[in-house]
Amino acid sequence: MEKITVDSSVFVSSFLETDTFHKESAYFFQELQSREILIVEPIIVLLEILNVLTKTGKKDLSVVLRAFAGYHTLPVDQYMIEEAIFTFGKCHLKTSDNLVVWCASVSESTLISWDARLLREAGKLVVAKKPTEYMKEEGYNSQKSEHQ
Amino acid sequence: MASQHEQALSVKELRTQFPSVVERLSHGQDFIVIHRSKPIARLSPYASRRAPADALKFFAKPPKRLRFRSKKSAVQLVRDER
Repeated sequence: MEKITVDSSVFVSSFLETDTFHKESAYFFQELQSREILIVEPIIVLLEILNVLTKTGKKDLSVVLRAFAGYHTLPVDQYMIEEAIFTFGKCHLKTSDNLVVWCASVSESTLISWDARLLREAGKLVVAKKPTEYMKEEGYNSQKSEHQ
Repeated sequence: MASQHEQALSVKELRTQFPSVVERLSHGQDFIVIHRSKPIARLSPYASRRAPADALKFFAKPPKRLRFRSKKSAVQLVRDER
């Protein structure tokens, strides 16, 4: 079964109508529905999404929480801290970036992000791709996954 | 109400604290079972988990009331949080 860790930038892009990758992000989540796929997320991603939405004045975000309940969420706990420390020295990234990379590493998932810097650094430890690259390489409909 | 998020659980904890794990399962707690520093299994209350398709469908087309516009990109907005 395919395993992926989707970075906050892809989720936020799906809400952000003015984002360059808005359509691609929506299409990415749409296409994933056709596959048996395991999505593993660090809890920090959910917190970031909720924080961004809150800052734009959005209220009643319980629907986002309910949607996220369908994913495998890894908490920030003692185990995570002990394991994530080893990730910190290998990638020159900020703490939250490193936790996302740790999640992909420990779950042996492909990291998916629109953030070029995160992908570049994460690539030292895990397989890291943009949603469009991932869909193309995994055999999703590549014509539609190109920029629309 | 118990958290819907998963909690890491070592094989040792599963063995030594099984009654406590069963109790927490009964309150809706999900677990990731860890063996030799790797997650090997998910332990969840029977039939408590929603189908992932629902979660994917939500982000493929978020409700209009939650969509927004910004001069910043999604990457920049996330960067601001990190």
